[in-house]
Amino acid sequence: MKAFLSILRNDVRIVLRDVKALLLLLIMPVLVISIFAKALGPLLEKSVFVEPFSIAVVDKESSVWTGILANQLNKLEILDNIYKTDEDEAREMIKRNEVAAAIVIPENITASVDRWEPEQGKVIGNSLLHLESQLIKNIAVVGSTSVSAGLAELYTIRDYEKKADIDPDQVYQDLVSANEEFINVVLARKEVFTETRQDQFEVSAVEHYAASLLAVFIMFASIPCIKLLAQERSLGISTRFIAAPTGGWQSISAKLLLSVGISMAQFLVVCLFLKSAAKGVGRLQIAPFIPVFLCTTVAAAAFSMLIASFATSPASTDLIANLSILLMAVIGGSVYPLPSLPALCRMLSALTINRWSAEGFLAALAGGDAGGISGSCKALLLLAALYFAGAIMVYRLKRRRLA
Amino acid sequence: MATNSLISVRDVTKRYRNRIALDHISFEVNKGEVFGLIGPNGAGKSTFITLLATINKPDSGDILVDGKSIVKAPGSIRKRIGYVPQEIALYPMLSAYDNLDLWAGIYGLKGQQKKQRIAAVLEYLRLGDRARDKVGTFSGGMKRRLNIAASLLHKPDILIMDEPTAGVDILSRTTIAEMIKSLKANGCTIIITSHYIDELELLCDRLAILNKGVLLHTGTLGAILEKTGKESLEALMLNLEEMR
Repeated sequence: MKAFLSILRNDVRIVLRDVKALLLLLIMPVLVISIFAKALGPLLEKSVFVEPFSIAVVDKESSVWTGILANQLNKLEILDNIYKTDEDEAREMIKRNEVAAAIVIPENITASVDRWEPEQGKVIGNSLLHLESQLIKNIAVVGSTSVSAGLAELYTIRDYEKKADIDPDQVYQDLVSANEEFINVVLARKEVFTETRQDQFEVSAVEHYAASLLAVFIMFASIPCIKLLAQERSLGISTRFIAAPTGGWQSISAKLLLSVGISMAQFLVVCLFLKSAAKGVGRLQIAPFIPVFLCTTVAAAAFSMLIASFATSPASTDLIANLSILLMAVIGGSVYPLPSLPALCRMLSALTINRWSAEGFLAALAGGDAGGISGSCKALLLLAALYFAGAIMVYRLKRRRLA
Repeated sequence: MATNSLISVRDVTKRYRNRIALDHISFEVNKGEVFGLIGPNGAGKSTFITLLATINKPDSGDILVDGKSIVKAPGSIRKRIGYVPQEIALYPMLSAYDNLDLWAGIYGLKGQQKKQRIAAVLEYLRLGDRARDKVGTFSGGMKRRLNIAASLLHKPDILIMDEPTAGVDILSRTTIAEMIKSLKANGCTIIITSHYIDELELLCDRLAILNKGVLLHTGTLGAILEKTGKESLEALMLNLEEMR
């Protein structure tokens, strides 16, 4: 025990030498959570990566009817600004990336419809905003289809009235009124769409990102310790530990304990921050967090063992650790909500600490759902076992290669 | 077996993949003697040191330290040995004192006893005035001396030194040689490997000559030279190098 405490004290001494890095480790969580909540919070309730965008409308006819048509676009929430302009300027706006697409309404479209030979409109897309362009194209296609359907109806009326030998003026009047009625029906069509609110995120943006990012910070907290382990290995200190009464395992255990200590300090800072952010709401309970935190810490410790088993020097430790934490953060839904990620990412996320940690913390934040918490904890412990087994396998392979 | 044998190497074999690092070697090291291991690169000297220091285990055979097996009871042996690795196994960002403080703690020293022992060892290796300086700022020779100091804190009765004077200045070599003589005078058994033949000739009571994992000769320098018909250890080593 004396030897273990001596190693632990020495590790603390080394880590404390870089006070700035340590302070950064403690302050960064609060800063990053705040920035993420501010920058990405508004996107949390959206299921696609499309933010409101602008389009240009080139109305070459400029009639009452085309005006009504253009105004219908104002009702689309996804559209930010609708610039009415000419075709050349619309093309320039696309080049300047100011608009995602331009809808061109042809000249004499109303008259052409009256003549039963509707003119084709067109959509000019912006390749840099492909998804947005496709949205506008689809809106235009739906509009054109509606007009075609309406015309088909009008053809039928005309043919029947011709056969019935009705006065041509009367036929014309009937068609105009049918046309108006059809347009009114089409314009009212938006009512067929209603949105059911999912209430997927019952927590605030700050809480969501705190839950999502805690695993990232816990993993980062172990980097100074695994770097130290790599340094000891490259300097031959680890070998010296083996020849001493400590054996090698006490040095590794001391570093794991130290990284848990740093994680706990981070966790405490984040809890205080969340507590102050939840002021007035008064719902934040710290207790349900603790099992998730402990399981995340165990998984992060096993993960750091895996990194240490791969790394050969402090520099390679830094690189492997940072890249793998970043990758886990992206795949595990720490950066962007998991439901919005592609299916492959969602599948791979099962292998990340981030996913289960975030789910556990979110369950704890949303009111301490015991089922959600225990499920996440089990998954985290399973991951820890997997990482730990992986680390032992790599160590053994390395030893065999050395032998 | 010699009556005052402390270390008994018994038919030890160690393989690294397809290469035999030590091939059925057997010899004895007597209590209180300075025993030198000599041989060209790849002879198996460092492999033997890692076995004796309980870092690795032999594939077959055993080494007994005072009757205790390094395979079966490495823990009790570790308390008795001081291991000086070939690398400078110290934290460059810490001071000499802090480095020794760690190793003193690992060997169970505490309080005033620890402080006194650290100060004594630093003085012993002429590093007393640099105790609070970072090891990273030390010269190669000073680092080597501190590397040795870290293994002397618990007063081991067996000191295992792997190339302790590699790449050091003459002052540090002299200091280390004086230290070895002084430790021997106090009854410490020392096993040393070195590339400096003159150093081994001067310090060692007995030698073991290894080549490609095979123990070629063991005994006093005079006995080895007589047996091989060579004029000097240097001539013998040159002969070994030519045979490679």
